[in-house]
Amino acid sequence: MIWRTYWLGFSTCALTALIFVGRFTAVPPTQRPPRPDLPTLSRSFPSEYSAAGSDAAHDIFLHGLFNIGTPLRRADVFLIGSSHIEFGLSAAELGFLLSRPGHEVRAYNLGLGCGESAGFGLEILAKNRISGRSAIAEAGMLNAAATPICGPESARRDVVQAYASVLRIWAKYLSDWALDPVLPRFVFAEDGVHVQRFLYGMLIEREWKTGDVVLGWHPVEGTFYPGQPMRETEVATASKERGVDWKIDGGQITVSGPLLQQAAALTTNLTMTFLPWARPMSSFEGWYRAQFARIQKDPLERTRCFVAIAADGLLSWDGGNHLTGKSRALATKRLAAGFQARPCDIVPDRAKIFEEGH
Amino acid sequence: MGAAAAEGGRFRVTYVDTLFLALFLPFAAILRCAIIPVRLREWVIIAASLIFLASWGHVSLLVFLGVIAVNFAATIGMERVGERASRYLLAATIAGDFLALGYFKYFNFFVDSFNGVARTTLVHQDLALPLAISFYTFHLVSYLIDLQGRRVRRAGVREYLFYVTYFPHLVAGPIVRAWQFFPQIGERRGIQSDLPLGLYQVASGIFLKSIVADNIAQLIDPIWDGTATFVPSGVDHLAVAALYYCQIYADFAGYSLIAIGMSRLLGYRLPPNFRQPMFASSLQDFWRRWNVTLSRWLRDYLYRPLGGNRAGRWRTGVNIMATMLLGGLWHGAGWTFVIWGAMHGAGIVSERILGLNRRRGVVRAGWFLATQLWVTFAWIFFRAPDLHRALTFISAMADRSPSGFVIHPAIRLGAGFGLGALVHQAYERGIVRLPRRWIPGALGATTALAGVADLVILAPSKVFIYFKF
Repeated sequence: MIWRTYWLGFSTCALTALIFVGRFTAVPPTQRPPRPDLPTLSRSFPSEYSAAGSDAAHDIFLHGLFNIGTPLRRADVFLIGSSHIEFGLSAAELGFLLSRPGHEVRAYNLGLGCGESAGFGLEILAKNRISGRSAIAEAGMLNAAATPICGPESARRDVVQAYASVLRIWAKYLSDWALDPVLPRFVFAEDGVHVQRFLYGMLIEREWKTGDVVLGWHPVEGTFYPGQPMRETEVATASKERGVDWKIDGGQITVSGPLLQQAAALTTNLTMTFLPWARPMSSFEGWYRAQFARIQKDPLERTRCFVAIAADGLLSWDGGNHLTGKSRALATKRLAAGFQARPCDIVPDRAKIFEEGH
Repeated sequence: MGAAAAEGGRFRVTYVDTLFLALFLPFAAILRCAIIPVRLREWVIIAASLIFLASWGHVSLLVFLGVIAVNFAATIGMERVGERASRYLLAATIAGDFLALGYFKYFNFFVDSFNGVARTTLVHQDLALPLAISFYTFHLVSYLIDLQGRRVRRAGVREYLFYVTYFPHLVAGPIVRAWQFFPQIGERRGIQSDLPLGLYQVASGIFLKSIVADNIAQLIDPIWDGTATFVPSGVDHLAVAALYYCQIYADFAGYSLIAIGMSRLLGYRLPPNFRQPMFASSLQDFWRRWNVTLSRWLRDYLYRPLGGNRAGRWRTGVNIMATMLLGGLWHGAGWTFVIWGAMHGAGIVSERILGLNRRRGVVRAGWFLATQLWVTFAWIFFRAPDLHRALTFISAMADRSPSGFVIHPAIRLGAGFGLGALVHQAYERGIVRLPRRWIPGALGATTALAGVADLVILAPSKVFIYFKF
């Protein structure tokens, strides 16, 4: 009987506290963009929810979770590299543009956040036992075998850990999404207590079938990808202000030894590209010159075919680093056009892949 | 490679994760309400415990299964062979347990120490510390010794697995003895207070861990790691040491409360692990209040077998020092942990010699203050990544320049969270003094307020400190 007073105290205080925080401190719904719709899990998945502190795509791709190996194995061409590739190119459109009558090309976007390298993209192919395909790799990043944060961390996980890590991110997103309409979130900072919406992280959704980003959502700015972002920055202008004109032509580009070895081990045909961006660092110009110096006219042992994407007209949603949804289509078209103009052997013989049983 | 990051990176499922709670709460509710045989229910909990362990990596799971298989076989062997052979078997199994612990936890530490002394160049092994190995080793060893001493009976497979795998205490304690736990196995207990008290403990444990400890950690970790965006003053350093005391209390007491509360929700009792250590009036008193189950384990299986306090003053001092040094080393493979243990050992020996722990009045008040300052000072060695960093930190505390007295806003904010650790201890001390009929209502209100705070206050994601041990 005595514990009745426990439930009385519990329910009274819980109701009072919830009403107080919900009614008197919540951000008014009119002052915030609507929360995104929950993904249709048969079509797309939350690949990153920044409030969970980690991204799910690394684990899903690397460990072949949720049967992602099936669409991966169907693909002929992989887009590998960092989030510049993730946001800057569309695998679905590239596949369509490269297809010819009687020869369908399927592309898959394996670009990953966390400044991931092309090397990790090849590691994903190796782990999923995919070989004999083509990869379009981002040439602008470090080009080393792997970057030292998210990729290696994901590689240290086993399958159970990888599932746990992904489900942990999804559970956090789902609970934040569910409580967003009724509760605020209090943040204690050095300058006082701030009230923000409950769903407080940036969300990225990707499509299972192609790996393309289908949604980018920000708690303050709302849906910014592939739709219209609140702000747009012209990449060419922003990079020019930092001394970079993005006038790199196609040709051959030197590629690091480890990346070439990884590609050779997978009998994967490597083609390189740059997605124009405006790096907010003082060394940007120096970095660009170094990349420029890598371009060669004729093929050598350590060079690979390079397809340039012009910066003119490309827009970014975050000040110059990641392209908007509209610019993604434009950049993808330019990449496809580059392949038609240059003798880069991009599309492997599909029949041969399956005959060899890869 | 750091042990914490070695197996699977930073982001792993812990008791405060949405995913864990979303699975645990319905799991506990089903087990409470569903009419299923007790034995089946316990097998389900065993399976859940192993799945939880597997989520931290297959190495942890395989090492754990290997060690418990050997120990279980030893318990059968000890019963079947004669008294003398049983003792040998006991010694061999305990040696094996500590060898496994030593290999995974201390191998690289010994390599470093040996290289330093002998000027050799032995290389590190790339070892990931299996989750919970320090804690389950203590569980296994205490059971073997109690079995040999006929204080407990030999357990069957289910009882044994349930005792050692039980997930609320598996990872970081409380270290529960077989005699405390075995009578609960195979029983269906319907105690009315388990649900409300379990909820109170889980909600307040999450508050301590997620809101208090993790927010303090977010603010002071950069100072310990030397990555702060500002230059901390001398007073900042003093405050950071005190805040770490609050952080580690909130982290570990929070974990213990969640573990004890989860266990209550499942219908099993675990012993309390913290009794308001910031109110300890002496170091001896501190160790009766801090990580109580570990202190008792060290007392019963190390200090007393060494002779305890029965062999004269000097021998007692040596026994205390040995116990505290090994207790320090148990926490981590590093000289800073040894120094931390030595500081506590030296403090306890000193207060025994001077009789300070038995005084009353002003001396007692003064010793209370000295005790808390000594404990705070010792935490510097416990927290600092290495000895050099600890000494640098201590010298920075002595900064007496005018700028040395400025407190940075981040530290002031941290002090606000630190208050949460103090308030929690004062609350637990005070609530038992309320009239009996008021206590449930107060606990209900606290559960609700802590639960709402857990929901709406932003908590940075950090792994429990004691999961590393």
